[in-house]
Amino acid sequence: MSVSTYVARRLLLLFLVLFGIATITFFVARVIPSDPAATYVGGLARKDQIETAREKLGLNEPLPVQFGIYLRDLLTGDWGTSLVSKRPVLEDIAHFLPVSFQLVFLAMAVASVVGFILGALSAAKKGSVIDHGSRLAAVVGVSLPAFVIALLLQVLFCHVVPLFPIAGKIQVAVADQYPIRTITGMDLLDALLTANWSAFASVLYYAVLPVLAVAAYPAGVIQRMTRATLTETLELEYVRMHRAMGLSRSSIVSRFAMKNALGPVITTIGTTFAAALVGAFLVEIVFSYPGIGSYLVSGIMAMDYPVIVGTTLVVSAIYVCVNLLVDLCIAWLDHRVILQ
Amino acid sequence: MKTGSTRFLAGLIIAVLLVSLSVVAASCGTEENQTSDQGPTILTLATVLEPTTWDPGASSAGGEDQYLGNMYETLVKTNPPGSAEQYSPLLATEWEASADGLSWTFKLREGVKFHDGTDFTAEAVKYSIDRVKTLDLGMAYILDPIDSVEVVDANTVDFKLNTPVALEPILGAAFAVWIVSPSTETYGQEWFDSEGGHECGTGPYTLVTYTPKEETKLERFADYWGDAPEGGFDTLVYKFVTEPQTQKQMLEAGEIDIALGLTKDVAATLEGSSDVNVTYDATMENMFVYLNCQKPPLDDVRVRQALSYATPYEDIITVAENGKAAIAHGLVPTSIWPGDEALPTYSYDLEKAKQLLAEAGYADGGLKLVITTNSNRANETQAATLMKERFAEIGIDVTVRPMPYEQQWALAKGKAEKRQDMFMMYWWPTYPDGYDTLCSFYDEGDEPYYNLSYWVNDEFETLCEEARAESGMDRDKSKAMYMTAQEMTIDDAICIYLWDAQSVVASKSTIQGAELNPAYPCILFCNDVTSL
Repeated sequence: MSVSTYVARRLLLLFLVLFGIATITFFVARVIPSDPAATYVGGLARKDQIETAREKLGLNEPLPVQFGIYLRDLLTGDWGTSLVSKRPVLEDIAHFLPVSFQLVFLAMAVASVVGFILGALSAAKKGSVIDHGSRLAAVVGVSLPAFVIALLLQVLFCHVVPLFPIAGKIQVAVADQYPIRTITGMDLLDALLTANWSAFASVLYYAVLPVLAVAAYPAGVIQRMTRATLTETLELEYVRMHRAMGLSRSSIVSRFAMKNALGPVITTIGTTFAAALVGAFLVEIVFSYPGIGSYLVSGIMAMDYPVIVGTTLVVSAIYVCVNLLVDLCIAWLDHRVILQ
Repeated sequence: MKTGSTRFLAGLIIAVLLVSLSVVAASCGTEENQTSDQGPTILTLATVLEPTTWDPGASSAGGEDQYLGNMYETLVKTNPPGSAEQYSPLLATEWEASADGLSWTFKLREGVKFHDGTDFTAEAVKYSIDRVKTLDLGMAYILDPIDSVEVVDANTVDFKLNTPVALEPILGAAFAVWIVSPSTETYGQEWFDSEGGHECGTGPYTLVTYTPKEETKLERFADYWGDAPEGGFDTLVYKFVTEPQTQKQMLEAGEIDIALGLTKDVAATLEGSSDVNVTYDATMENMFVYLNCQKPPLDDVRVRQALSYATPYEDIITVAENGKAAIAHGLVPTSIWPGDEALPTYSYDLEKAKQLLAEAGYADGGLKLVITTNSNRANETQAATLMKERFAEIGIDVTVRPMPYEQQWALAKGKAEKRQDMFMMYWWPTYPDGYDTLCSFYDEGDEPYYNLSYWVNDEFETLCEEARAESGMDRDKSKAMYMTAQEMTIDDAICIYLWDAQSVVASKSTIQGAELNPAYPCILFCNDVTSL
């Protein structure tokens, strides 16, 4: 099968998956007893106000008809407005998603470097104290949920040893003096592009703990994958041959074995990306980091169904697309893999 | 990949790491310096509430009200209980009612400017009130007694009423009565909420930016008619921080000056600190439990009274509100008119409860009741659990069902046989007048709304309406009627009245004036806040 047919098929599948998700989330969000019209009016609303809102929002139609209208609007680019804030959902998502992406990109960068180095050290010094330590760290990173790590980091570095800020995205005084001009929506990148160094430093400083919390899981997975593949490679015959030829162990690891181990590690980076994005949701709550996770959680708390369905759709689409990209990358890196 | 490029990559990574580390270190070093610059003074507050709209005519939630109160003004300001005057002039300087109470004349303050430079005149008052009545959104219904607003001259307006109510509590409310510039008419209703929000009031601060889930920034209005106090703040930055515990830590770390979203248990851990002041103020919010007056066994007043006697009020306040609340005297909090501490209360008395149950034919107990609580408010479930424990001692088995408020309400409005026996409710009136609470207990027939005790009492309704019609003229006579009406709700035990709530604000000890007025429970008026 050619690559383009394969991609086309996967995209078609993506469409079906999204349709399924839209259906399920819409009906779940609407079947749970709550009154979107009352949410829309807010506060201690009067009966006639709620009736007016019900009429306006088309909530008097049968649920399947409402769903049909919702789908039609969705396809024409109208994702509805939040019942609570009355802001367009698509606009909100465009605002919040880059913030989460910034967190996840940074976390993946940290996780890749740290995970790879720790894994390589573990494999090179198998059975040593370094190996045990690095493996223990990996187990902790993989098994503790991101939000627990976030809370631990918060207690440790904001309370016991107050080194880092507890919450927020940038220091108030810095943001006031050196406002960031929005280009991409990712503050760090925007500050870099506009050479706004004070803001850049402050955003980076505020991102340290959330990034570490999000990075823990992918770093653990990458460490284990690197260690496993490197160990395997080091037992192969060509390595033994290099040994026999008198090359030092460390130069074999860095020059030859590493290259072979890289493929699976890159795959791991791809597959953990989606997990990191979901992990970031709760980390955002812990650090009051204003990303898509904060947005979705407040939507769920208020039973704001346009927000819930819209955000779930976008996140699912990202999840599926990242997986597709990973599959394509693997096929590109290793020609023995057949796309089907 | 060639070995050379691997080396290069490794080198690059290390270089990036080193640069970022040094940048971080540098920024740590400059943290302190930047705040002490001779720039504009910034007050940083943490809030849990997000605005739902920037339209003062559509507003019905505290999320936006906390800002509206700093950007807009009302004609009259309601003072905290215990003040010499109950109302003081704001945009109006003086006012008087006609003999029949149906026409109120207000003299307006001169020399007041809106944030876009237009002058504040009688037209603006008429425009604002008419606008809210036409939109009919949010809390517009509190303006129902007003028939029309008439412009007498540039600085005088007449309010024509259909019922002779007291107009001050309405015009001094925290919703629906903000005065907006008539110049906004040309922009349309959407303008308020477009591009992150717009406003055009007369208040001491103007809106600069609003970034959802992140922060709201307000700046001092240079042409404000009133005084800017010595040590006041030029800029207000509200950070959205949903976790009370995080707000507390930010306050301790000096990242914020004022925490507005603390819970009582978190605030308690700050008391005694020399760097932080914690203040508790009365509010007009209260907590009660609706008792289902139509469903056996609670259709028997003796059973309802028994429950009222079996409730451990003081223990509940200690556990659920950390001791920072007052015993409730009926439906209306004592901080607002016509609430009164002279009204009777039930006190915890198990013997009396048992006796009443026996009279009702339940000497052996064996009753099963369901209480619903709002699962987003942990203290409601705590209070319900305490009640469950004590009720068990008189043979009543209570099932506590925490659920989201929306579900709780849907169940209460649903089929009569499926409705709960008890419903724990956190209540606040729209404006500081007990009528707003009392009239929600009128008979609503098969479609209950807020009368979730499903209580029917014509005498009560007539009395409340008469008292209201009297409130604009003979305040004492009106109060006496309201007292009788409130006693009916207590004698009939239509609810278990748990507590009158208090607000909590924690601020750095260098901050003064961070106190809440019960009439504006969501608004901290930042023009009154100063630093030492």
